[in-house]
Amino acid sequence: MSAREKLNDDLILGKHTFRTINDKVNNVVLNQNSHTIPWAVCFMVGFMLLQLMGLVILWLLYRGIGIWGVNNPSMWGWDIINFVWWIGIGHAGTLISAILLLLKQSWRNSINRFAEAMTLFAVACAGLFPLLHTGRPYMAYWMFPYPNVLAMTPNFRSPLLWDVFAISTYATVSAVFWFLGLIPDLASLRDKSKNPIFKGIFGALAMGWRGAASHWQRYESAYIMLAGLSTPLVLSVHSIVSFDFAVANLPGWHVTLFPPYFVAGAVYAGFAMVLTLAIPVRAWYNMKDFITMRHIDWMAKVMLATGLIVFYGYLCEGFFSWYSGNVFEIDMMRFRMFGPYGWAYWMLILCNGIVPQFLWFPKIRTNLVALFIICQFVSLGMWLERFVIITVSLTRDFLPSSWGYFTPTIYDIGMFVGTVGQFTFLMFGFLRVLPMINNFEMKELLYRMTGRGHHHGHTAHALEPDLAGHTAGDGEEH
Amino acid sequence: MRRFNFLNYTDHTEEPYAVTMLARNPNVTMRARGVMEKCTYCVQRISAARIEAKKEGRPIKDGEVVSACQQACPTKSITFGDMNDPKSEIAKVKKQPQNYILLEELNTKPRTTYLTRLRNPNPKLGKES
Repeated sequence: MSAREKLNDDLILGKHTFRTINDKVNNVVLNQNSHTIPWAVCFMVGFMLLQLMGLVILWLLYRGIGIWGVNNPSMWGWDIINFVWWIGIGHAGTLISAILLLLKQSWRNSINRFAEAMTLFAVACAGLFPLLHTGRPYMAYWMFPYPNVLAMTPNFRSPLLWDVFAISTYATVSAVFWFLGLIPDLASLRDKSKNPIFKGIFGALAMGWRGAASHWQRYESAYIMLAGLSTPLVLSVHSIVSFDFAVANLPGWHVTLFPPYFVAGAVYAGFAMVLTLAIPVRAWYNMKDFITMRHIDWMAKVMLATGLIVFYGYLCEGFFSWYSGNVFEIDMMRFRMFGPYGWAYWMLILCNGIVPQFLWFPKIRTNLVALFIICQFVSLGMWLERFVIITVSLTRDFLPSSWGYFTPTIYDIGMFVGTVGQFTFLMFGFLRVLPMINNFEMKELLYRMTGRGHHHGHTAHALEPDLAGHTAGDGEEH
Repeated sequence: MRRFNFLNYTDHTEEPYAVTMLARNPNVTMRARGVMEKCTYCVQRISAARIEAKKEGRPIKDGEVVSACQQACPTKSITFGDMNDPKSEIAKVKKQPQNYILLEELNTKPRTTYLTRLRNPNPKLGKES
């Protein structure tokens, strides 16, 4: 992997035909020899950490959540931090697949599939934390308003209940959207696979897709509709997650700034994770023709833009706590900066305020090693942001009698590392069994780039799709 | 103040369970893990009084319900009763000028309010304790 690659406006590099794209994408799934040592290492490490998480969860179910560092002023600890962090990471997938689709951004085509998979797996990691944090996870169904003999309904004024609906809607819509987009590609895999078992599995999953014009017509309208459903979710899910804090009457939490600032932070963290995965995977599977430096450059720019919004949020928090003249708000900010968790605040400013400024330079945006390192800073920074918000406010509220300190235990760490393992395990499992790049959309993009059937001339200029061409425009060659 | 039972603090299977139960509030034991502990204002005593009153066909009398903390308090500093009844002891206490609500400005409208300590700001009348 050369650190720096040339920037080119073409979204597909090299000399590609429909057949080469098809073979390249399907080959990763159909040819088991295409997976090399990096795949095995990531998958195995992920699997090991997943086992660790299993042990932590078993012990937690036996003993109770007191094995975590949570205590009485700090009732939320790493569990809610990790929850918000993972949910945020998922947002990039939805943004890429839904908003960029509606905005007709062709550069989404090669990254949307695995970004959506990332969303699903991140939500799967996130969902574990509030579920276990209820204290009695076996009673978790009580969170749903179902008719019962206990005469019990959840409190609809509680943002925690809104969370239940927000997250379950998000997970459902994301899963359906992802699966729908997979159907034409599954059909392609069905047609190309020689192994009868694979053929059967892919055939069942493709749900009888034959590539008929009527199929495409229905597919396109369903896909656009789901994109329309997902678009508000990009904004609503993390807004609702932010309400967990903003609705509570606690200094540092009771802020109207939270929803936009959380959403921007989510997209920011999400793109960092997409890049963290895309940079090595495109090198290992030699997908540089599809995930080009142009894609990476644009993702870095999105990261820079959302990072600036997040940093502006920090400045606003500082300014408004002073401007409020409220002793609790001012003191809370003082505790954030210079209190027992001051180190976390300044680390946060370094990771989310200073390090992303390097992305202004095109040379750094196209330097894969530098960009990868910046992404790690961003991920750490976004984790620290939630740490600072949650821990400082909980342990420094109005009355000094209810102050405290939060110290994580090995079970907190095990749980967090375990979800990272789960995420890695699922992600690399996905790379092996499903096409990581949207095969038919790439072929369609090639069709439009080469100007076939369209009034446009060549390459980058033919990027605005129009819907009519979009429907009929796939040169599927079975 | 709320307290969450992060662990199973009361072992319901252990033999001396009955004794510990007597040693603490006999009607309410610590709940199992995963449940919030919060003052219920002795809901079991309120229920008992309500049932008695209903049987006799009368409203609950002022002072009929005595909360456990009130009963145990040696200085009698806790008053409990019906705030809606203007003639009740609690309503009278709440009307006193030294009655205050902790963090009133947060507008959470807590039922529990406090009486400030009576101070003697005039040094001529004696030393403040």
